[in-house]
Amino acid sequence: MTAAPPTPPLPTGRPISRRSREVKNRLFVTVCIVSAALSVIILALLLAAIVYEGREYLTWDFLRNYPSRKPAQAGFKAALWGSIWVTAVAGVVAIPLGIATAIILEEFPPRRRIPRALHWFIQLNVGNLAGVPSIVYGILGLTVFVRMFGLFGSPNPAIYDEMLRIRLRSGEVIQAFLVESRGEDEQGNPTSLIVENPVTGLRELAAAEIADATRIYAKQHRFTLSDGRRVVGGRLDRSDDGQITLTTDAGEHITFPASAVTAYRTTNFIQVGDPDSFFYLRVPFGGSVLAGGLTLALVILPIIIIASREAIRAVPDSLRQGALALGATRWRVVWSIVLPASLPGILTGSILAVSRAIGEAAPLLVVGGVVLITFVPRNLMDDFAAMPLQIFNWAGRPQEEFRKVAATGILVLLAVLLAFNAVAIVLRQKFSRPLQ
Amino acid sequence: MKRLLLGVATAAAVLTAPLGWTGEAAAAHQPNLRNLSGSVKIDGSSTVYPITEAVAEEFKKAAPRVNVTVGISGTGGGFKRFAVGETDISDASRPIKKEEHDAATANRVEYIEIPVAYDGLSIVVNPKNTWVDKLTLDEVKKIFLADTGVKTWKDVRPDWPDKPIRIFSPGTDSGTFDYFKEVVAHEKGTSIRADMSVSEDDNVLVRGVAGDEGAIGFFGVAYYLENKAKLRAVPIDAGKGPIAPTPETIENGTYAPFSRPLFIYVNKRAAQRPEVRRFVEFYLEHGPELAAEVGYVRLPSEVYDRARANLASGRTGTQFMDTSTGERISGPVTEVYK
Repeated sequence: MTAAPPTPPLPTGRPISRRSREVKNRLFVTVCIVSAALSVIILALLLAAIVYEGREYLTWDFLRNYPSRKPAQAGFKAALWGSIWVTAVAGVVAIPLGIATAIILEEFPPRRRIPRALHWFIQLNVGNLAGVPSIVYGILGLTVFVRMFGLFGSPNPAIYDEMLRIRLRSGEVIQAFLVESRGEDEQGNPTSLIVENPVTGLRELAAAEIADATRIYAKQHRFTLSDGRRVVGGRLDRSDDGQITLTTDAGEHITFPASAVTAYRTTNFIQVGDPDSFFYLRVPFGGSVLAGGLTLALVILPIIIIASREAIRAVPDSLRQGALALGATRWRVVWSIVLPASLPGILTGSILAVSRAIGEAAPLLVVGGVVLITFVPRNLMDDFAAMPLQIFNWAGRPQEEFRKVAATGILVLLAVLLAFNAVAIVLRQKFSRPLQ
Repeated sequence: MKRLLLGVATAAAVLTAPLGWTGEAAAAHQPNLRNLSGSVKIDGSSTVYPITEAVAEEFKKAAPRVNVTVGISGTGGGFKRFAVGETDISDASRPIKKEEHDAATANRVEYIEIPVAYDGLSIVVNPKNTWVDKLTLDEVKKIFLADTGVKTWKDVRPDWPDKPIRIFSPGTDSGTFDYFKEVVAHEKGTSIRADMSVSEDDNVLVRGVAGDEGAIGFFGVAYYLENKAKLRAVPIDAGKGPIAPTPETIENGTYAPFSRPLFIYVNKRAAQRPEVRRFVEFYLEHGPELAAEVGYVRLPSEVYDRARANLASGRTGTQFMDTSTGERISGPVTEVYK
């Protein structure tokens, strides 16, 4: 006969009656309902207050006008479009990059020691980066994107000498200042241009001769003179008697006759296209749409990575193993099995991250987002305004009326945010099929 | 080809006098504002912003093809960008500092200094505060300086009630704070106390003072004028009897030392572009009335005349500081600015 195993001692203490358990149960449910209701009520109150404050200025004109000192004429057009541009850039950059990073981190863990350490280090830091205040990214963006560490000079081309580079139909290329445009054809274009090259002087070019013209910005003018001297300077003046005066970097003025020049060239601001063209690009980026968008991309990148990783991790391992057993390569498994299965989660995370980008003010303030702007961006190098910045500015004005305008701005911002979230929900519904 | 030429055509009006280009043909052609194009980049003080915004708004009507952008990164932030040539004009609610001047010089940025309006720093209390009839400069110092041991109104003047003083101040990064500090804590070894409620948003200060009987605060006069019902401005006695901040006392200089000039700093090189020069000229012409419209006080007209002359002659540098020692030159604008 074996001894019966010792029975565990019964829990001591006051026995809990069924009644008291039920009371506790009900109490807990009530607390949950109240706290849930509270957050909804507070949100509703906030919305109601903003709608009440902002209703007065909520007209189509508000979306069509530029900012004004008069509250009734103040508009949101530049801010709305600026936000759309900047957020689009941020999304286009951050979403593919974030998803790719998440795939690498989750699906391709390295085996060797050093890559494994790196992998671990990146994982650790993605989590940390998600918690960094966005203003820090703003300062990073200012140095890296706006100024590019000062390696390429000032980001504002407008302080350089503006010249034209004209390609003629004959193949000749002329770099010169535009002095005057003459005549006008049916389209209002000039029929001829008078340009002035520092060395060769004035020249008239008929429109028919010109194949192509681009605006360029001369950072420095470099002259080689007949006595072998080289003169380099940032600003050029030419007098009527053919004397060239160059202001050197040290602030000296050097004057020499144009006839003594044997060679002349300029160092130009690095750019592609013309400021009026839609593809205009320049280095450094300056306080442009591109710099703002890239900075916001940094802000939301960790969020997208984390959300995507979670979504990828939620895909059952059996699916991967099944596919691998059927002979699929690892990349095939990711592309055909893991990504489709995790797409709803990834999209939701990405769209929420993009909605955060719309609401960011601090990093944009640092990288040079402006408040008053009287045009909509035409290309990635244009200045931009943003909705949160504009709201911040209106809310801080002394006049009571501007606080109402700010409330109207908040309404528009909220509408855009809700539209984004709605898209997230729709996409989620569309892509989430039960796994089989 | 057509599109590019069109680009040239719009550029043509601007380019007639490109940067520093003084050819005869260029001088002969005066562009009118309608045909003017190009861009003017401005950043800096959010205090000066309303004036610049108003000027830019009106300028846009006169010169619809010029793109003016105005940012609000603050006086200091604006100068940082200005000093590297990122902006054409910098809004400033105080004169340029030595470090900022040196940074600009190092980057070969020369600037033209232009005072555009006055702002009165109003020291305000709660309307329920009936005991403060005026404050002398010494009393202001007692309240706002560190280590004076003042905790209640009684500590300031013995016949005032034993109510705690709560102080509301603009952010320490703002030009407003800088200016206040310069007036109140200019003596060596003194500093503004740290135990104040600080906010970057002046409306928060307004609400703070309006909601606390023992409160005192300071900010630009525009915020006081908009909230006259909720606040009471304290007349300041700087030895010539108590003076309250009104547009008149600020303009004629009797509301001293708490009235300060606001500035724009223009990049000299940028000012050679016609759109920037026209904008600054427009600023000098319409700025005074627009400044008054948005709550500031216009400067005496001789100051604008001198600014116009300085712009025309290209006079660079600051007149409010000895640039070799960094010593601030203070006094009425009419005397300092030549």
